[in-house]
Amino acid sequence: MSLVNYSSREITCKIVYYGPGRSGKTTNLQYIHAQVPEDRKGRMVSLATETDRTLFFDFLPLDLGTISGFQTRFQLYTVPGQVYYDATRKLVLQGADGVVFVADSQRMQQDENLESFRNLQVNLLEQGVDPRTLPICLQYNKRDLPDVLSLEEMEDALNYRDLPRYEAAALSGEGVFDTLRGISEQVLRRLAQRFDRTATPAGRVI
Amino acid sequence: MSTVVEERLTFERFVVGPTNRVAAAAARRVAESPGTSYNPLVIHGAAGLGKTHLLSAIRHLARQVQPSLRVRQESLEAFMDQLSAAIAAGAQEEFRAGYQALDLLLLDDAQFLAGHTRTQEELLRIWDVLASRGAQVVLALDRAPQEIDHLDVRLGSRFSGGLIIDITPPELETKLAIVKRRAEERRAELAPGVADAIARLPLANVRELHGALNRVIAVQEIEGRRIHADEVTDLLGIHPAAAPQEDEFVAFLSDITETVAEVVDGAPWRRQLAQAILRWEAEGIRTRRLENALEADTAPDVDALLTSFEAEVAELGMLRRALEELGDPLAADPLVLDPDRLEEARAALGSARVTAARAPAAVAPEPTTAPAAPAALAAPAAVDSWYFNGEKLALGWLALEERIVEELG
Repeated sequence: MSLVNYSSREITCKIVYYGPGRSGKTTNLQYIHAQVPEDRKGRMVSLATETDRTLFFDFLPLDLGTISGFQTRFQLYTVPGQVYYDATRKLVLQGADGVVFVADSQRMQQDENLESFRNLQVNLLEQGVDPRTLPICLQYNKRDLPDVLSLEEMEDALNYRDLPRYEAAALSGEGVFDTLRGISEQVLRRLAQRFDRTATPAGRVI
Repeated sequence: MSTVVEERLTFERFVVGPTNRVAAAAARRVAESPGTSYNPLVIHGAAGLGKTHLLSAIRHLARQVQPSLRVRQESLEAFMDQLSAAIAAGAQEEFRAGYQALDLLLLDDAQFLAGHTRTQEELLRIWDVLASRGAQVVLALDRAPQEIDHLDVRLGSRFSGGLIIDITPPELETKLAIVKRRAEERRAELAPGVADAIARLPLANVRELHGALNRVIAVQEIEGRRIHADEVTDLLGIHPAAAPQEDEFVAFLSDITETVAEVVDGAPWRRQLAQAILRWEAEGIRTRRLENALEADTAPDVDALLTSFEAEVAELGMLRRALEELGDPLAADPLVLDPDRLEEARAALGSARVTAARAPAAVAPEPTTAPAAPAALAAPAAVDSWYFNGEKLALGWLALEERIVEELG
């Protein structure tokens, strides 16, 4: 995927929301979808099972218009969180320019968070992407629920690399745009760094 | 259209930021040399973002550069009113002729073309003549052209034949610059932080920003004191926290705009190349070499690259004109628009010259019938090149003979 195409003057960023089942990935996209003016968004495509869990993925195209002469588009994806959809997760993860890991802050969900975060690292490495160089941010979701882990506990469990992290309550929208802003800026700034050096494709191991 | 307010709408007073930089650059280029670069230039964006300002700025600058230029700036509503009046008076021809004689037509609020088939037909007729004369058309509208309902496909095609560019709401720095510029123009002194407080208000466009500033200035004048920064939100009754939820996206967009601008401007050589490509593409020149350089990971010697490219384009222009003079069909071939094929173009001109030189020699009359002919043929440059056009050989033979006889006579 070409992130910036100077010839056609386009910037396209693919951002994938990753995390365990029911952690709120689709809710993030639904909230963003609801806030974006009609002329700026494409149709949100969601493929869900009968029980409303994401079966394949959600896809939300955002047209940010012309910025500095570049037609700028963001493509937001979610992966299905359930363990048995790993093949789909790998497929959606391909070519991602950045990842938002949506963790469920509820105490009882901590194992699922850890398992999913490990799964993210494995799938990235399988695709030849170094997780240490790919822009990733953490979203600690459902902070409004009772019996959630403290921020310190979440950090100890997940954020050993000191990644940017955001607290959120996606259902009410709290922290959703902060997270999107955070990952977007990481992705774009990584691009700027890339231009300053002799390049290797973003995030790929050589 | 020439109100006092409108007369102030020049490029000098247009605050440029990341969200309108390209539109402003394209507008300036159009004003400096109408009809040569982006034709039509279509600028779209929401109300209050400076589209009318840019149209007026083009008009001012174009007249400064070429005072004899026939320029007209109208809103589409005014255009429709004039058309209705002309139809009522049976003066459609005069109406049409008035517009068709222009060198530069600037049409504002073109979104009102939606559903007005008669107006669309009339505009199309005018536009056809303007296009054939190489006159410049600039349109401003509040939505993308493809979003205009029931637009004649021929008009849609004309819209997309030039450069379509949008203006989005300004980001914080540009808003701040706008407020400060406007305060200076009003000769208003603002307390520290006031301009920043106004710029941070969740206002949708530049017009609302001006309105907020005007109100602050009015209160300062009435109360005879300077307003403090922390009074701004209460005074205006606009609180960032009370902003409607959709402003979350606007705020996000504003932040991302700054970051994108940093990224894009972070590699100025790419911007320089991209602008050069935009310019040459508009003139029909093939820019593959520049595009390859643009996609490269490291910066080339941009100045050297652009200088050599420009020199080659200039040489292609000379080759093209020489081929035209020889009446060679290759003058209209993409070959003469592609600097990467300069060698081929040079060779083509060489062949064309040889062909042209041979053509009269093959048909040269016998010296016995026309003794002066060899002298005339020995200096082909002195003879109308029409005679050396291979396509007109048969006619040329007769004409040449007649001409020689005439000259001898």
